[in-house]
Amino acid sequence: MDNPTFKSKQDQEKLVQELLELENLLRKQGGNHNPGETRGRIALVRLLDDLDQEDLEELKLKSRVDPAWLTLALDQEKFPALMEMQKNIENLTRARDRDALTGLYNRGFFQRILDREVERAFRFKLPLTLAMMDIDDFKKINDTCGHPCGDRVLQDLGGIIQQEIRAADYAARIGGEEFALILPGTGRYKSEPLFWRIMDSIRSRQVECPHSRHKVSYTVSIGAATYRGKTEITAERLISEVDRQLYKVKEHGKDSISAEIFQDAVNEEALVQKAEKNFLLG
Amino acid sequence: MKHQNRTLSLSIVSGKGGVGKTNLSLNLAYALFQTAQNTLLVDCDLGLANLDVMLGISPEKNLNDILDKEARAEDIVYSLEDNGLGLIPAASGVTDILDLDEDQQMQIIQRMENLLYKYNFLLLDVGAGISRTVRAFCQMTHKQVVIITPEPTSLTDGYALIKVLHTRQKIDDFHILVNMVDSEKEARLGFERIRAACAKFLQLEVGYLGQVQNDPAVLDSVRKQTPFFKLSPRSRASRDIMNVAEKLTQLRSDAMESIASVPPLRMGEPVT
Repeated sequence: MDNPTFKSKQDQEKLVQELLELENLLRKQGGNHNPGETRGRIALVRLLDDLDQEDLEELKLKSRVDPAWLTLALDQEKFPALMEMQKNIENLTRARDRDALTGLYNRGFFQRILDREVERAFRFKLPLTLAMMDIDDFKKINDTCGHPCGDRVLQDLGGIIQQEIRAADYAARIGGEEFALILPGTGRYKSEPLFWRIMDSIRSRQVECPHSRHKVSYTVSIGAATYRGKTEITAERLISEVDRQLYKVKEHGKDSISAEIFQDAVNEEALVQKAEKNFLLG
Repeated sequence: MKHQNRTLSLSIVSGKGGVGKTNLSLNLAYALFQTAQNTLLVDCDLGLANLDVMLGISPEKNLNDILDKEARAEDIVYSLEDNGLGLIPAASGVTDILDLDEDQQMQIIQRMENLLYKYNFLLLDVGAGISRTVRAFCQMTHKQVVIITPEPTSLTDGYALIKVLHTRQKIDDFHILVNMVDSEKEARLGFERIRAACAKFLQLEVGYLGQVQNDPAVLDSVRKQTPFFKLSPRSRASRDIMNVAEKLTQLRSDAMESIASVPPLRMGEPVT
């Protein structure tokens, strides 16, 4: 597939011209801006100059700045070609990163972001909470009311999550009836109220089945773990801890929350200390 | 030519309090002096500074006075015995020294350098535990003497101290002195436990410095505020401490080459 951001040679030239103009403009504004930010913008503009899908991927991974921010800096009349490209990029990234049914992020995006956020949490010693939630007995809903009804439930939950999370959080649908929340900079005590809000909203919901007009209610189970950035871990390690918490809830009757502080290093150190003590006092 | 260092510096530490650390430090200083080793003992136990109490003295100046730029290093040394046994008493302000920036610390250490070079041994009586202050002092000296007793809590705390100093401060020259034992055999057993744990869990070899056996002379000397080594030189404890002093003298001769280029007090990485 051709790069959708450039329709023709002429378009491309126009775009490059606008990019240069924008770069100049940003340079002039340099004095009024955080210089680092301006440099970042110029670099970004240069990058966008010959962006293809892989570049875009890399760019999104490297910086927290979504290319979409460009809309903020651009004047529609002055930079029509850039705006066009902007829109194309947005559509492109949306198709790539989002789950079509719920509008939340998809599994691929979730994994990329989680890797990055775990690294960030370790580097800046910030807490990071990961939650996974599962619709209880979702199969039963599908079996008794049909898949369209199941989809409604998924969409309903997607809507609730979207509404409850904060701007810096990420919500993704990572499997059939499985959702995940990445809450950067959020410890256990700040994340739990969010989970309860989501639970409460769900309990008050009645989803209308598209065929039978039958009202369906549903519940979810949430497992969560907070990583405190103390020792280096992988995203997989955090996911498996959250899985364990989720499993605990499922074992104990569902429709509830289990949140823990990720104790990796602490536990290992405690085990070592116990072994040392036993050895010393033998 | 740059001065060749001949002063061996030792931090005397213990994982827990109440193992007789300060008393042994003091007597060890006397024993070293007895074997013709010029020795300077510095009370670095900021929380419970009691070397002066143990000696029944009340010196006018202390370590804190070195912060005053006019004071000479010699002025803060309290002479315990003429010609080579000195004491620098503790001060609550000593933490200030640790909080100075590297340049300022360097200046103070430089001002003390000429004083320190007069001594064969520099003993720092560092507080019990694993506080930042303890770790900072240990980082400055050539070797560490860890005092333990055969009690389980002393073994675990002693080991914990070695572990922290080794893993965090990268210190690896530890010598174990076992206090309050009924026999050398009992001391060796206690040492063996720590030695084996260090070898197994830290891949670290620690040395055996000796033992000091239970002795009524020790208690008697504390009451009389006189070091037992001076009060009852023929007691079991005094003979034991003499053996330790001789062992240390030997350690110093063996280390002569390696300490030649390392000053008695070193600046290290800031301790956090």
